[in-house]
Amino acid sequence: MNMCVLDVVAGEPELSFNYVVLFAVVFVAVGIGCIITVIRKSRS
Amino acid sequence: MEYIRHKLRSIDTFTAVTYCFVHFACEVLCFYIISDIFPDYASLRWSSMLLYDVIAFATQPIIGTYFEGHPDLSPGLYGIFLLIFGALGSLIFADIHWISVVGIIVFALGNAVIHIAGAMSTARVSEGRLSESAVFVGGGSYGVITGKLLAADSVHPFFAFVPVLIAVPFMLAADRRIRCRYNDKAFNFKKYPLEHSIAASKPTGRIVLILGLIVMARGYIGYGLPTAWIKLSIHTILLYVFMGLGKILGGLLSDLFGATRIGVISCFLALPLILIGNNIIWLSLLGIMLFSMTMAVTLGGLFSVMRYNPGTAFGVTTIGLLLGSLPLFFIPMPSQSVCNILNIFLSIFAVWGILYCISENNVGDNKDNKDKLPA
Repeated sequence: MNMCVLDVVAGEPELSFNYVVLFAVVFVAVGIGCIITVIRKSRS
Repeated sequence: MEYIRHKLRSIDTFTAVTYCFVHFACEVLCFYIISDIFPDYASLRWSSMLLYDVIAFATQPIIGTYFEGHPDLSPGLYGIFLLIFGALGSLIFADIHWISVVGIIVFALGNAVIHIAGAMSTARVSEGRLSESAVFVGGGSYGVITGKLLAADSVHPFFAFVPVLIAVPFMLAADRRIRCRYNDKAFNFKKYPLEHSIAASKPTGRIVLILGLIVMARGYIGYGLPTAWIKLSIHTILLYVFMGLGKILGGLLSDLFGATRIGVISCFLALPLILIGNNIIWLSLLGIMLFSMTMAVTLGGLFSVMRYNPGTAFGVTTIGLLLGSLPLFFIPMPSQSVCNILNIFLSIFAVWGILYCISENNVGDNKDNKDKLPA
Protein backbone atom coordinates (compact mmCIF):
# COMPACT_ATOMS: atom_id res chain seq x y z
CA MET A 1 0.00 0.00 0.00
CA ASN A 2 1.91 3.06 -1.19
CA MET A 3 -0.65 5.68 -0.33
CA CYS A 4 -2.65 6.36 2.81
CA VAL A 5 -5.63 8.52 3.59
CA LEU A 6 -3.46 11.42 4.72
CA ASP A 7 -2.11 11.91 1.20
CA VAL A 8 -4.81 14.35 0.13
CA VAL A 9 -4.42 15.19 -3.51
CA ALA A 10 -4.46 18.94 -4.19
CA GLY A 11 -7.45 20.24 -6.11
CA GLU A 12 -9.64 17.20 -5.38
CA PRO A 13 -12.96 17.37 -3.51
CA GLU A 14 -12.34 16.35 0.04
CA LEU A 15 -14.54 14.51 2.53
CA SER A 16 -13.09 16.35 5.48
CA PHE A 17 -10.64 13.90 6.91
CA ASN A 18 -10.90 15.38 10.40
CA TYR A 19 -14.63 14.64 10.51
CA VAL A 20 -14.07 11.04 9.49
CA VAL A 21 -11.46 10.60 12.21
CA LEU A 22 -13.80 12.23 14.73
CA PHE A 23 -16.52 9.82 13.56
CA ALA A 24 -14.14 6.90 14.05
CA VAL A 25 -13.15 7.97 17.55
CA VAL A 26 -16.76 8.55 18.64
CA PHE A 27 -18.10 5.28 17.24
CA VAL A 28 -15.22 3.18 18.57
CA ALA A 29 -15.60 4.82 22.00
CA VAL A 30 -19.37 4.23 22.07
CA GLY A 31 -18.87 0.65 20.83
CA ILE A 32 -16.29 -0.12 23.52
CA GLY A 33 -18.49 1.64 26.11
CA CYS A 34 -21.37 -0.60 25.06
CA ILE A 35 -19.25 -3.74 25.49
CA ILE A 36 -18.01 -2.61 28.93
CA THR A 37 -21.57 -1.81 30.07
CA VAL A 38 -22.83 -5.21 28.91
CA ILE A 39 -20.00 -7.02 30.74
CA ARG A 40 -20.57 -5.01 33.94
CA LYS A 41 -24.33 -5.64 33.78
CA SER A 42 -23.87 -9.38 33.28
CA ARG A 43 -21.56 -9.48 36.31
CA SER A 44 -24.15 -7.95 38.63
CA MET B 1 -16.08 -42.05 11.50
CA GLU B 2 -19.50 -42.52 13.08
CA TYR B 3 -18.60 -39.78 15.58
CA ILE B 4 -17.75 -37.36 12.78
CA ARG B 5 -20.93 -38.25 10.88
CA HIS B 6 -23.02 -37.74 14.01
CA LYS B 7 -21.40 -34.40 14.73
CA LEU B 8 -21.81 -33.14 11.16
CA ARG B 9 -25.43 -34.30 11.05
CA SER B 10 -26.29 -32.22 14.13
CA ILE B 11 -25.34 -28.97 12.33
CA ASP B 12 -28.27 -26.75 11.29
CA THR B 13 -27.16 -26.61 7.67
CA PHE B 14 -30.11 -24.56 6.41
CA THR B 15 -29.55 -21.60 8.75
CA ALA B 16 -25.77 -21.78 8.42
CA VAL B 17 -25.77 -21.89 4.61
CA THR B 18 -28.55 -19.29 4.34
CA TYR B 19 -26.66 -16.76 6.46
CA CYS B 20 -23.42 -17.66 4.67
CA PHE B 21 -25.15 -16.66 1.43
CA VAL B 22 -26.74 -13.56 3.02
CA HIS B 23 -23.28 -12.50 4.23
CA PHE B 24 -21.84 -13.21 0.77
CA ALA B 25 -24.56 -11.19 -0.96
CA CYS B 26 -24.17 -8.27 1.44
CA GLU B 27 -20.39 -8.09 0.91
CA VAL B 28 -20.75 -8.40 -2.88
CA LEU B 29 -22.92 -5.28 -2.97
CA CYS B 30 -20.86 -3.31 -0.45
CA PHE B 31 -17.50 -4.07 -2.06
CA TYR B 32 -18.86 -3.57 -5.56
CA ILE B 33 -19.70 0.01 -4.60
CA ILE B 34 -16.82 0.80 -2.25
CA SER B 35 -14.13 -0.61 -4.61
CA ASP B 36 -15.21 1.69 -7.39
CA ILE B 37 -16.36 4.73 -5.44
CA PHE B 38 -15.11 8.12 -6.68
CA PRO B 39 -12.60 6.59 -9.12
CA ASP B 40 -11.30 10.02 -10.13
CA TYR B 41 -10.66 11.34 -6.62
CA ALA B 42 -8.12 9.39 -4.58
CA SER B 43 -8.42 11.34 -1.32
CA LEU B 44 -12.22 11.33 -1.30
CA ARG B 45 -12.09 7.63 -2.03
CA TRP B 46 -9.77 6.89 0.90
CA SER B 47 -11.89 8.93 3.32
CA SER B 48 -15.04 7.15 2.10
CA MET B 49 -13.44 3.75 2.60
CA LEU B 50 -12.42 4.71 6.13
CA LEU B 51 -15.93 6.00 6.80
CA TYR B 52 -17.41 2.74 5.49
CA ASP B 53 -15.12 0.64 7.70
CA VAL B 54 -15.91 2.72 10.79
CA ILE B 55 -19.69 2.56 10.32
CA ALA B 56 -19.79 -1.11 9.29
CA PHE B 57 -17.51 -2.33 12.09
CA ALA B 58 -17.71 0.03 15.07
CA THR B 59 -21.51 0.16 15.22
CA GLN B 60 -21.96 -3.60 15.58
CA PRO B 61 -21.69 -3.78 19.41
CA ILE B 62 -24.22 -0.92 19.65
CA ILE B 63 -26.61 -2.54 17.17
CA GLY B 64 -26.10 -5.93 18.83
CA THR B 65 -26.98 -4.54 22.27
CA TYR B 66 -30.06 -2.84 20.83
CA PHE B 67 -31.47 -5.97 19.17
CA GLU B 68 -30.72 -8.13 22.24
CA GLY B 69 -33.06 -5.80 24.12
CA HIS B 70 -35.74 -6.12 21.40
CA PRO B 71 -36.09 -9.86 20.71
CA ASP B 72 -39.32 -9.39 18.74
CA LEU B 73 -37.61 -7.42 15.98
CA SER B 74 -35.98 -9.13 12.99
CA PRO B 75 -32.67 -7.34 12.42
CA GLY B 76 -32.09 -9.01 9.05
CA LEU B 77 -35.07 -7.25 7.48
CA TYR B 78 -33.94 -3.82 8.66
CA GLY B 79 -30.43 -4.61 7.49
CA ILE B 80 -31.49 -5.59 3.96
CA PHE B 81 -33.69 -2.49 3.68
CA LEU B 82 -30.84 -0.17 4.76
CA LEU B 83 -28.37 -1.97 2.50
CA ILE B 84 -30.50 -1.72 -0.65
CA PHE B 85 -31.67 1.83 0.10
CA GLY B 86 -28.12 3.09 0.79
CA ALA B 87 -26.62 1.26 -2.18
CA LEU B 88 -29.24 2.65 -4.57
CA GLY B 89 -28.68 6.18 -3.24
CA SER B 90 -24.93 5.84 -3.56
CA LEU B 91 -25.10 4.52 -7.13
CA ILE B 92 -27.86 6.75 -8.50
CA PHE B 93 -26.33 9.93 -7.07
CA ALA B 94 -22.70 8.95 -7.67
CA ASP B 95 -22.01 12.42 -9.12
CA ILE B 96 -23.43 14.30 -6.13
CA HIS B 97 -20.73 13.52 -3.62
CA TRP B 98 -22.54 14.32 -0.41
CA ILE B 99 -25.54 12.12 -1.28
CA SER B 100 -23.18 9.34 -2.27
CA VAL B 101 -21.41 9.64 1.10
CA VAL B 102 -24.76 9.51 2.94
CA GLY B 103 -25.52 6.39 0.87
CA ILE B 104 -22.24 4.84 2.06
CA ILE B 105 -23.21 5.53 5.69
CA VAL B 106 -26.66 3.95 5.18
CA PHE B 107 -25.49 0.77 3.43
CA ALA B 108 -22.60 0.38 5.88
CA LEU B 109 -25.20 0.49 8.67
CA GLY B 110 -27.24 -2.10 6.77
CA ASN B 111 -24.15 -4.28 6.51
CA ALA B 112 -23.63 -4.01 10.29
CA VAL B 113 -27.27 -4.91 11.05
CA ILE B 114 -27.12 -7.94 8.70
CA HIS B 115 -23.97 -9.14 10.48
CA ILE B 116 -25.75 -8.92 13.84
CA ALA B 117 -28.77 -10.80 12.41
CA GLY B 118 -26.48 -13.57 11.16
CA ALA B 119 -24.52 -13.74 14.40
CA MET B 120 -27.63 -13.96 16.58
CA SER B 121 -29.43 -16.47 14.35
CA THR B 122 -26.50 -18.83 13.86
CA ALA B 123 -25.53 -18.58 17.54
CA ARG B 124 -29.07 -19.59 18.55
CA VAL B 125 -29.37 -22.59 16.24
CA SER B 126 -25.83 -23.76 16.98
CA GLU B 127 -26.82 -24.96 20.47
CA GLY B 128 -23.23 -24.64 21.63
CA ARG B 129 -21.43 -25.57 18.41
CA LEU B 130 -19.12 -23.26 16.46
CA SER B 131 -19.84 -24.61 12.96
CA GLU B 132 -22.94 -22.56 12.14
CA SER B 133 -21.34 -19.23 13.09
CA ALA B 134 -18.14 -20.16 11.24
CA VAL B 135 -20.03 -21.02 8.04
CA PHE B 136 -21.90 -17.70 8.31
CA VAL B 137 -18.67 -15.71 8.76
CA GLY B 138 -16.86 -17.62 5.99
CA GLY B 139 -19.32 -16.37 3.36
CA GLY B 140 -17.95 -12.83 3.72
CA SER B 141 -14.57 -13.60 2.13
CA TYR B 142 -16.23 -14.90 -1.04
CA GLY B 143 -18.46 -11.82 -1.14
CA VAL B 144 -15.52 -9.42 -0.80
CA ILE B 145 -13.60 -10.89 -3.73
CA THR B 146 -16.73 -11.26 -5.90
CA GLY B 147 -17.69 -7.61 -5.27
CA LYS B 148 -14.15 -6.43 -6.07
CA LEU B 149 -14.05 -8.46 -9.29
CA LEU B 150 -17.46 -7.17 -10.42
CA ALA B 151 -16.27 -3.61 -9.80
CA ALA B 152 -12.94 -4.21 -11.57
CA ASP B 153 -14.78 -5.54 -14.64
CA SER B 154 -17.26 -2.61 -14.53
CA VAL B 155 -20.18 -5.03 -14.54
CA HIS B 156 -23.64 -3.43 -14.59
CA PRO B 157 -24.77 -2.55 -11.01
CA PHE B 158 -27.87 -4.73 -11.39
CA PHE B 159 -25.70 -7.84 -11.12
CA ALA B 160 -24.37 -6.69 -7.75
CA PHE B 161 -27.95 -6.52 -6.45
CA VAL B 162 -28.93 -9.97 -7.73
CA PRO B 163 -27.36 -12.00 -4.85
CA VAL B 164 -29.07 -9.70 -2.28
CA LEU B 165 -32.45 -10.13 -3.99
CA ILE B 166 -31.97 -13.91 -4.05
CA ALA B 167 -30.90 -13.89 -0.37
CA VAL B 168 -33.99 -12.06 0.94
CA PRO B 169 -36.56 -14.93 0.75
CA PHE B 170 -34.05 -17.41 2.17
CA MET B 171 -33.26 -15.08 5.06
CA LEU B 172 -36.97 -14.58 5.79
CA ALA B 173 -37.46 -18.36 5.72
CA ALA B 174 -34.53 -18.91 8.08
CA ASP B 175 -35.85 -16.26 10.46
CA ARG B 176 -39.35 -17.77 10.43
CA ARG B 177 -37.93 -21.25 10.96
CA ILE B 178 -35.96 -20.14 14.03
CA ARG B 179 -39.00 -18.39 15.52
CA CYS B 180 -41.22 -21.45 14.92
CA ARG B 181 -38.67 -23.88 16.28
CA TYR B 182 -37.60 -21.96 19.36
CA ASN B 183 -40.75 -19.87 20.06
CA ASP B 184 -40.02 -17.39 22.91
CA LYS B 185 -36.50 -18.61 23.08
CA ALA B 186 -35.60 -17.57 19.51
CA PHE B 187 -33.90 -14.22 20.10
CA ASN B 188 -34.56 -13.72 23.80
CA PHE B 189 -31.00 -14.20 24.94
CA LYS B 190 -31.59 -12.42 28.27
CA LYS B 191 -33.97 -15.21 29.31
CA TYR B 192 -32.45 -18.08 27.31
CA PRO B 193 -28.69 -17.61 27.01
CA LEU B 194 -26.40 -19.38 24.54
CA GLU B 195 -25.05 -22.84 25.31
CA HIS B 196 -21.45 -22.22 24.28
CA SER B 197 -18.97 -23.34 26.93
CA ILE B 198 -15.42 -23.22 25.67
CA ALA B 199 -14.13 -20.33 27.78
CA ALA B 200 -11.82 -20.87 30.75
CA SER B 201 -13.04 -19.94 34.24
CA LYS B 202 -11.45 -16.51 34.22
CA PRO B 203 -12.92 -13.02 34.66
CA THR B 204 -15.19 -12.11 31.72
CA GLY B 205 -13.57 -8.71 31.12
CA ARG B 206 -10.11 -10.22 30.89
CA ILE B 207 -11.19 -12.91 28.40
CA VAL B 208 -13.06 -10.38 26.25
CA LEU B 209 -10.02 -8.09 26.25
CA ILE B 210 -7.54 -10.84 25.34
CA LEU B 211 -9.76 -12.36 22.63
CA GLY B 212 -10.46 -8.87 21.26
CA LEU B 213 -6.70 -8.22 21.11
CA ILE B 214 -6.15 -11.53 19.29
CA VAL B 215 -8.73 -10.51 16.67
CA MET B 216 -7.05 -7.11 16.41
CA ALA B 217 -3.62 -8.70 15.92
CA ARG B 218 -5.09 -11.07 13.32
CA GLY B 219 -6.69 -8.11 11.54
CA TYR B 220 -3.42 -6.20 11.41
CA ILE B 221 -1.04 -9.00 10.45
CA GLY B 222 -3.55 -10.19 7.85
CA TYR B 223 -2.51 -7.18 5.76
CA GLY B 224 1.20 -7.82 6.26
CA LEU B 225 1.35 -11.47 5.27
CA PRO B 226 4.07 -12.14 2.69
CA THR B 227 2.32 -12.96 -0.57
CA ALA B 228 4.90 -12.37 -3.28
CA TRP B 229 3.19 -15.10 -5.31
CA ILE B 230 0.15 -12.91 -6.00
CA LYS B 231 0.66 -11.84 -9.59
CA LEU B 232 -2.65 -12.60 -11.31
CA SER B 233 -6.31 -12.06 -10.42
CA ILE B 234 -6.75 -15.81 -10.02
CA HIS B 235 -4.16 -15.71 -7.21
CA THR B 236 -6.16 -13.04 -5.38
CA ILE B 237 -9.31 -15.13 -5.85
CA LEU B 238 -7.51 -18.19 -4.43
CA LEU B 239 -6.34 -16.12 -1.45
CA TYR B 240 -9.92 -15.13 -0.54
CA VAL B 241 -11.26 -18.63 -1.25
CA PHE B 242 -8.77 -20.16 1.18
CA MET B 243 -9.45 -17.43 3.76
CA GLY B 244 -13.17 -18.28 3.67
CA LEU B 245 -12.43 -21.99 3.72
CA GLY B 246 -10.19 -21.51 6.77
CA LYS B 247 -12.90 -19.66 8.67
CA ILE B 248 -15.46 -22.39 7.91
CA LEU B 249 -13.08 -25.26 8.63
CA GLY B 250 -12.02 -23.60 11.90
CA GLY B 251 -15.56 -23.96 13.22
CA LEU B 252 -16.17 -27.46 11.87
CA LEU B 253 -12.86 -28.86 13.10
CA SER B 254 -13.23 -27.16 16.50
CA ASP B 255 -16.55 -28.95 16.94
CA LEU B 256 -14.97 -32.25 15.94
CA PHE B 257 -11.60 -32.11 17.67
CA GLY B 258 -11.80 -29.33 20.26
CA ALA B 259 -11.40 -25.57 20.03
CA THR B 260 -8.14 -25.30 21.99
CA ARG B 261 -6.43 -27.94 19.88
CA ILE B 262 -7.54 -26.39 16.58
CA GLY B 263 -6.78 -22.84 17.76
CA VAL B 264 -3.26 -23.64 18.92
CA ILE B 265 -2.33 -25.98 16.05
CA SER B 266 -3.59 -23.54 13.40
CA CYS B 267 -1.71 -20.62 14.99
CA PHE B 268 1.51 -22.63 15.31
CA LEU B 269 1.45 -24.06 11.78
CA ALA B 270 0.15 -21.02 9.92
CA LEU B 271 3.15 -18.74 10.31
CA PRO B 272 5.98 -21.06 9.18
CA LEU B 273 3.90 -22.11 6.17
CA ILE B 274 3.19 -18.50 5.23
CA LEU B 275 6.82 -17.43 5.70
CA ILE B 276 8.27 -20.42 3.81
CA GLY B 277 5.56 -20.17 1.19
CA ASN B 278 6.26 -16.56 0.22
CA ASN B 279 6.91 -17.77 -3.30
CA ILE B 280 5.22 -21.17 -3.10
CA ILE B 281 1.55 -20.64 -3.70
CA TRP B 282 0.10 -23.85 -2.18
CA LEU B 283 2.14 -23.66 1.01
CA SER B 284 1.14 -20.04 1.46
CA LEU B 285 -2.55 -20.79 0.78
CA LEU B 286 -2.48 -23.62 3.31
CA GLY B 287 -0.89 -21.23 5.83
CA ILE B 288 -3.50 -18.56 5.16
CA MET B 289 -6.26 -21.12 5.59
CA LEU B 290 -4.81 -22.17 8.96
CA PHE B 291 -4.35 -18.51 9.90
CA SER B 292 -8.08 -17.87 9.34
CA MET B 293 -9.11 -20.83 11.51
CA THR B 294 -8.57 -18.97 14.78
CA MET B 295 -11.55 -16.75 13.97
CA ALA B 296 -14.10 -19.42 14.92
CA VAL B 297 -12.26 -20.16 18.16
CA THR B 298 -12.13 -16.52 19.28
CA LEU B 299 -15.79 -16.01 18.37
CA GLY B 300 -16.76 -19.18 20.26
CA GLY B 301 -14.81 -17.98 23.30
CA LEU B 302 -16.62 -14.63 23.21
CA PHE B 303 -20.01 -16.33 22.87
CA SER B 304 -19.11 -18.48 25.90
CA VAL B 305 -18.37 -15.53 28.20
CA MET B 306 -21.13 -13.30 26.82
CA ARG B 307 -23.87 -15.92 26.60
CA TYR B 308 -26.63 -13.35 27.20
CA ASN B 309 -25.29 -10.98 24.56
CA PRO B 310 -24.25 -12.71 21.30
CA GLY B 311 -24.74 -9.54 19.26
CA THR B 312 -22.41 -7.55 21.51
CA ALA B 313 -19.96 -10.47 21.56
CA PHE B 314 -19.86 -10.44 17.76
CA GLY B 315 -19.31 -6.68 17.98
CA VAL B 316 -16.13 -7.29 20.01
CA THR B 317 -14.64 -9.12 17.02
CA THR B 318 -15.60 -6.35 14.59
CA ILE B 319 -14.21 -3.61 16.85
CA GLY B 320 -11.02 -5.70 17.06
CA LEU B 321 -10.86 -6.03 13.27
CA LEU B 322 -11.45 -2.30 12.84
CA LEU B 323 -8.73 -1.36 15.33
CA GLY B 324 -6.43 -3.83 13.57
CA SER B 325 -7.03 -2.29 10.16
CA LEU B 326 -7.17 1.39 11.22
CA PRO B 327 -3.37 1.90 11.29
CA LEU B 328 -3.27 1.08 7.57
CA PHE B 329 -5.27 4.21 6.81
CA PHE B 330 -2.67 6.41 8.50
CA ILE B 331 0.66 4.61 8.31
CA PRO B 332 1.83 2.62 5.27
CA MET B 333 2.69 -1.03 6.04
CA PRO B 334 6.29 -1.48 7.25
CA SER B 335 8.82 -3.46 5.23
CA GLN B 336 8.28 -7.22 4.81
CA SER B 337 11.03 -8.16 7.28
CA VAL B 338 9.48 -5.92 9.99
CA CYS B 339 6.07 -7.45 9.17
CA ASN B 340 7.52 -10.95 9.56
CA ILE B 341 8.95 -10.13 12.98
CA LEU B 342 5.62 -8.59 14.00
CA ASN B 343 3.83 -11.70 12.71
CA ILE B 344 5.98 -13.96 14.87
CA PHE B 345 5.35 -11.95 18.05
CA LEU B 346 1.65 -11.54 17.42
CA SER B 347 1.25 -15.25 16.63
CA ILE B 348 2.96 -16.18 19.90
CA PHE B 349 0.59 -13.81 21.67
CA ALA B 350 -2.40 -15.44 19.91
CA VAL B 351 -1.31 -18.94 20.99
CA TRP B 352 -0.85 -17.77 24.59
CA GLY B 353 -4.23 -16.00 24.49
CA ILE B 354 -6.06 -19.07 23.21
CA LEU B 355 -4.42 -21.29 25.84
CA TYR B 356 -5.34 -18.74 28.52
CA CYS B 357 -8.95 -18.09 27.46
CA ILE B 358 -10.14 -21.36 25.93
CA SER B 359 -10.31 -24.50 28.01
CA GLU B 360 -13.21 -26.70 26.98
CA ASN B 361 -12.81 -29.28 24.24
CA ASN B 362 -16.36 -30.56 24.09
CA VAL B 363 -18.09 -27.90 22.07
CA GLY B 364 -21.64 -28.83 21.17
CA ASP B 365 -21.79 -31.69 23.61
CA ASN B 366 -24.10 -29.85 25.95
CA LYS B 367 -26.52 -32.75 26.15
CA ASP B 368 -28.02 -31.49 29.42
CA ASN B 369 -28.93 -28.25 27.77
CA LYS B 370 -30.06 -29.93 24.56
CA ASP B 371 -32.65 -31.98 26.47
CA LYS B 372 -34.25 -28.77 27.65
CA LEU B 373 -34.77 -27.44 24.14
CA PRO B 374 -38.25 -27.42 22.67
CA ALA B 375 -38.73 -29.98 19.91
